[in-house]
Parts: sequence; C-alpha cells; structure tokens
Amino acid sequence: MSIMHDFTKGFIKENPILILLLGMCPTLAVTTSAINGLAMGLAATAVLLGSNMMISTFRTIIPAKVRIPIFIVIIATFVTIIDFVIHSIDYKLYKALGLFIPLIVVNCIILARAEAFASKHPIFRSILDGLGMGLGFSLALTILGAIREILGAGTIFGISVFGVNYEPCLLMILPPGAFIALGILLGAVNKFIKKV
Amino acid sequence: MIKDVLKLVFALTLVCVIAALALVYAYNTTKDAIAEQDRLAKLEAIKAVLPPYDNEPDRSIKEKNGGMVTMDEKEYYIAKKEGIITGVAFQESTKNGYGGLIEVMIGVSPKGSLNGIDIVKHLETPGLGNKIDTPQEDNTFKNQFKDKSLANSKLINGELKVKKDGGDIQAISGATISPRAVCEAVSKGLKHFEIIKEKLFSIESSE
Repeated sequence: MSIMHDFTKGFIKENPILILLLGMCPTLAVTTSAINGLAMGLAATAVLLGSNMMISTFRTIIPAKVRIPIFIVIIATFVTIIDFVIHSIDYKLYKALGLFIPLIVVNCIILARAEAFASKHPIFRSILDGLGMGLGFSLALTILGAIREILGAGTIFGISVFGVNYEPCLLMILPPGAFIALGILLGAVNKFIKKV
Repeated sequence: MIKDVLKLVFALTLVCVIAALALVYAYNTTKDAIAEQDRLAKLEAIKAVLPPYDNEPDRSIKEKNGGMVTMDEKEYYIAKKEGIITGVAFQESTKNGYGGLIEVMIGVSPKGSLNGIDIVKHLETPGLGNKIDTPQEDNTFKNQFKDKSLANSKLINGELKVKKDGGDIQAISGATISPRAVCEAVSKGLKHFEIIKEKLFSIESSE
C-alpha cells in the first residue's frame, strides 16, 4: 500500500494545486492555454524528480542547519540545466516557456517535497513521490489551462472547438480569469472529494 | 562551536562547487545547440519579412554568400537573388507598446516599400495585444503592411497610423495601443532606411 501510495497520492488526495494549494504563482500565470500548462508541469516534474532523487541520496550527510540553502542550490542547478536543455532543443517552446522556467526555483512545491518527503525517505520512495507530485501538478495545470483556453480562446491545444463564430470570453485568459477558473475548479474538486 | 560552523561552511561550499561543475558541464554541452537555436529564431524572422533569396543574409558580408552589414552598431540583413539585392531586413523597436518594449523586424525592398514585418519580441496582453504576433500565414494585421511605403500610404505627421488616428492601418479589435506602437516602429524604420540606404548599398557593393 505505502509504496503505491507514494506515487498516487499526488494525483488527487494530496494534489499540490487542488488540495495543498501550493505553487499558485506559476499556476495562475502560465495556464493561459492547455499546452503551456502541460509543458510547465512537465518541466517542473523533471526538476522535482531530479531534486528529490539528489536530496534523498544525500539526506544523511546534509547538515540539518544548512539544509534549506543546500536544497535551494540543488533545485536551482536542476532548473538551470532544464533551461539549457529546453533552449537547445526548440526555440519556439523556449520562447513560450522561457520566462517561467527560472520561476521553478521558487516554486514551493519542489522545496516542500524536498523538506517534507525526500529529506526523510529513501531514494526509491522519493522518486515515486517526485513523479506522482509532478504529474499531479501537470494534470491540474493542464486542466486549468484547458478550461481557460476553451472559454477564453475557443480552442483546445490550438484546435478550434466552437468554430469561427464563437466570440471568446477574453477575461478567461487574462489574470482575473485564472482566479475565477481556479476557484470554480477547487470548489468542484472539494465537493467531489467529500462525496467519495 | 567554531568547529561546527566550519563544518557547515565546508558542506555548503562543497555543494556549491559540485553544482558549479555540473553547470559548467551542462553549459558546454548545450552551448552550440543553443547558439544554433538562437540563429534559427533570428533567421525565421528574417525569412518572414524578406522576398525569396539565395544568399545567407544572417552571415557577415565578409563571408562567402553572406549578406549582413553592421553599421553604427545595427545589423542589416541583405537578401540577394542571383547577385541582385531584393530586400533588406533590420530591427526597429518602440517602448510605446501596452506592455512596453516591442521589437519589430522590418523587411524593405531597395526602393523603400515594405515586404513584410514580424514581431521579434513583445510583452503585450495575451488574447488582445498579442494578436500582433500570431503566426504569419493568417495574421491579417501583419500582412496588411506588405507593399506599403511612405510614398503610397496615408501619412499623419509623416507616419503610418491606424484608422482611428486617421491613417489606413486596420487595428485589432479590443487593442489599439499595440498596433499603434507597431505603426510607430515601422514608420521609424522606413524613415531610417531612406537615410541610410545609400551608405548601406555602397558598403555592400565595396565588399
């Protein structure tokens, strides 16, 4: 139960966005379209996986007093490497995400998992935790991005859903739309979870 | 006490040194690919605004087939077909966008009419002002600049203007400030081209 639980808890039960409400800054800022949400989520997952793995490996020798600075250095290193890699693969993707990649450093989900999980658990479980949390984050970001894209631009992953006559509700892809969509999504998730 | 502090300092230093080494390695491995991607991004903007060419406008004029001239710290990309100059591309910018800086790549024919424009960098509102930068094929805003010149357009104070300001550029519904800023940058570019073109072509032919 516990090993599988490490992986699946991030999806719904301890979903970083829908339940824990962590990492709201990238959540609100990047989710103007489904693809942006997905890409941001996957980039954060890669960082989370790397940092959890590293921190878990060295958890016994990292001095408790300076653990936070050490976590930050490890996370920042992974973020910078991911930034280099994305930049070297595709300039279009980099142009879309470039601004938000450095922000992963200050994404509190990653630091929270390092502090709350990876620094206390063995490496395999930390990897599962990182993957699960990262995918849960990606899932929530993609759903939020999809809702906003459908309402605010009339498309999903760039494909038109309502035809050309649809007048998009621009508000949804502007910053206030992020708060409105997130609020309604959280309400729906809360109601659903209470029933189960 | 001192010993404890030294231990912490040592641990932090060690972590930072390892991180630095990892970054050096990552930087060196991706450096060339990143430079190539940056070149592709620039080349795409150049290509979008120039007529068909068979030289390499983004390589220095001193190289074989190159077409880039640097003059007063500004780069001009000269397109040539079978040895004849068909157009010049260069960047112009304005700070009057809704989100501040807008950088525009402008392609001009040797006679001074526009071949096309492309937005290189902008911070306009998603869904409104950023429609100045949707893909080239179906961007009626960008495409309407084709063949416009200072000679054949309705000018107000010597500049291209959006219809709202009395000019003949169709703005984007819900966003006037961004198209206005683009008009300003394009007009600036066209005027600039008139001033520098002789010098530019004389440098080009002397190479």
